[in-house]
Parts: sequence; C-alpha cells; structure tokens
Amino acid sequence: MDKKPAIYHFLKGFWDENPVLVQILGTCPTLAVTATAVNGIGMGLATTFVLVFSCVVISVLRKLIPNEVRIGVFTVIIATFVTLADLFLKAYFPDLSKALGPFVPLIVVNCIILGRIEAFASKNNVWLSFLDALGNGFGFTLTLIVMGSIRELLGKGTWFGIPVLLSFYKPMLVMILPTGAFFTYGTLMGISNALKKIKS
Amino acid sequence: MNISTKMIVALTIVSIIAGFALAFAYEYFKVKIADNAVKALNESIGAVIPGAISKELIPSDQMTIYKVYDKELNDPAKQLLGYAIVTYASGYQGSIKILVSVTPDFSKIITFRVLEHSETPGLGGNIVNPDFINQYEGLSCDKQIIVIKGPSKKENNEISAISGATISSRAVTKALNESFQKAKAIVTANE
Repeated sequence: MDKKPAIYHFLKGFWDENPVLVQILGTCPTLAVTATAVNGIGMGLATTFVLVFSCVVISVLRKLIPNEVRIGVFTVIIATFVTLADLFLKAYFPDLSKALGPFVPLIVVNCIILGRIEAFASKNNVWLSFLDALGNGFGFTLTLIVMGSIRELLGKGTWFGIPVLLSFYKPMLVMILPTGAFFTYGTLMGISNALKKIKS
Repeated sequence: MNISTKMIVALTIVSIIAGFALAFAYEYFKVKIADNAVKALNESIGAVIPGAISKELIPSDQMTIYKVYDKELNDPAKQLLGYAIVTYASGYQGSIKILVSVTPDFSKIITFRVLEHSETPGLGGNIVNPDFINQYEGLSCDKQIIVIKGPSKKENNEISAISGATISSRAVTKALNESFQKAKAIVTANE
C-alpha cells in the first residue's frame, strides 16, 4: 500500500512530520518537563522506548486483534511498557525519575503513542512500524532537547547543568516556569512553519 | 468463533501476558529500588549529622525519628550524635519534606535539609540554599524560632525570611518549631 522508501518512514519524524511541531501531539509532557535539557532527554528516550516496543508488538499482533477491542488491547500493551520504563528509571536513574515525576506514568496517555499505533503500526508491517516509531521517538526527543536547552540556557544560564553563560547574565526565571514553556513552544512552532513556507 | 468471544479471548490473553511480564519485572527491579531509597536516606542523614555511621529508627506511628551514632550499632563505644527527624511543612505549592537534626539533649538545631518540595524556582525554591539553611544552625529548640523580614539576630532565635518567599520561609519554620516538642515527647516515651 505504501510506495515510499522505508527510510522515509524513519526520517519523517525528525522534520516533515515531527510529532511535536507538526502533528502537535504529546504537548503535555513537552510543556511540563522541558525545564532542563537533561529532563528533555530522559522524557524523550523513555517515550521512544515505549513507542518502539508498543508499535512493534502491535504490528506483530495487528491481524489477531479484533477491531472492536483494539483500543483496549493497545492501552494494555502501552501501559505494560510504560510501567517497565518507570521501574527501570526508578531503579537505575532515581534522580531523573524524581525530576520527571508523574510524567513517566503519564506516557500511557501520550497521544504520540496511540496516534502512531492507530495511524501506522496497526496497518503496516513490523519493519516499517519499527522505523516509524523510532523516527517519531527520536524526533520527539530532539525537539524536547532543543526546548529544554533553550529554557535552561535562558532561565538558569546553564546547559546540561554546566554554567555556560557569563556571570553578568541574569537568568530569566520565567523561562523555567510554565509560561516559558509556552513561549518556547510557540516560537519553535512559528520558526518551523516559517521555514516550511520558504521551502515550498 | 463469534465476535464477542473473540474480543474476550484477545483482551484476556493480552492482559494475562502483560500481568506476568510486569510481575517478573517488578520482582527484578524491586531490590534495586529499595536499595536506592536506603542509599538516599543514608546520604541525607549523613548530610544533616556530620560523621554519622549508623542509625536506629525509633518505633513510633506518629513521626519518623532516627537515633544517629558515630560508630556501628553493635559497637559498645558508640556515641549518640543526635536525632534526625522527618517533618512536613505546608508550603506555597504543596508539601515540603524536611529532615532536621538536633543535638542529643534536644537543645539546639544542628542543621536541616529539604528532601522534597514544589516551591517556585528562584523564590520559595531558595529554601534549599545553604544561605537560608545556615541561619537555623545552632538555634535553640526550646524557644520558638521567629521569622523576621529583614536582618535577624541569632541570639533572639530569629531567621530572615527569603525576600519574595515569606510563605515558604514561614512554612519551614513552623514545621520545625512544631516537630521538636513532638519528637522530644516520643523520644522520652521510648526510653
């Protein structure tokens, strides 16, 4: 059914169909956890893990799951991987787990995951679903890192916890507060739309 | 197979597999997660009572209080360094969890650490800063600690509120003031 090369499904998640900037999915964690770049990476990778494994498993089972209960089955599978990711973070990265707080368990209801499963993994073969999930996951992670970096840099004067701006720079606190998340998100989306317009 | 049987079978199988997978994963990670909690507790006790080697939980269902010693628990030469008390304050945006240490005779505060809080970064969030915490060190536990706007005197058992975060400063102080008498009563009753 698809004529596009496999690699396209991997790459589209980074820019053309970036989950955050173009599909506008997963905005809740995007706004909530991007106060620092490290949080952005942690949240991005946890989501990528859940996305890839859920999409692969569901793509394998796609012909066995009755259409009427598909959402129920999808949710159980997603919740399983989210709990695994949550336990793993708690066991090996307790500080990161504490910083991300309830937003790890909330990956269950992240629209990127159910969105990619409904739109792609439940209709395509395992290999393409894997690429699609990986691309979307990395696209999400990259966007969170960019947002986290901008907010951390302007709001705290640090990058990945290392002070990079000179001491005379007075951090704009607003950037690490929720308001700053909306400013950054809006600006990034505006830039991405403007770039797309110029290209076309 | 009709459609409702199919639905039931599919959901049941998926849920059973998921349940087993999670049960195994939980068993596997459980130990490590518990270790992390113990490590975090030991680290924070070490931070509030310098030289702490061992600790003993005082059995009480009202408060978490640890007796902290300078040598291992089974060492007869061990000396009591002080008590570490877990207390909670109602902050500006939710509960603040504090670990405060007092001298063995319950006369003076050694120091405290904020374990968990959700105060505004840059304002109430400054309750974790050494500049704020240092003010409490050596204050008396017998008298109430008083929050002052502006410069304060240690002799009067006063601390200066963080500017722009009076609520957070008061919350921490109130929790500390209330915890000492309560903890002292529990410790005395236990001996």
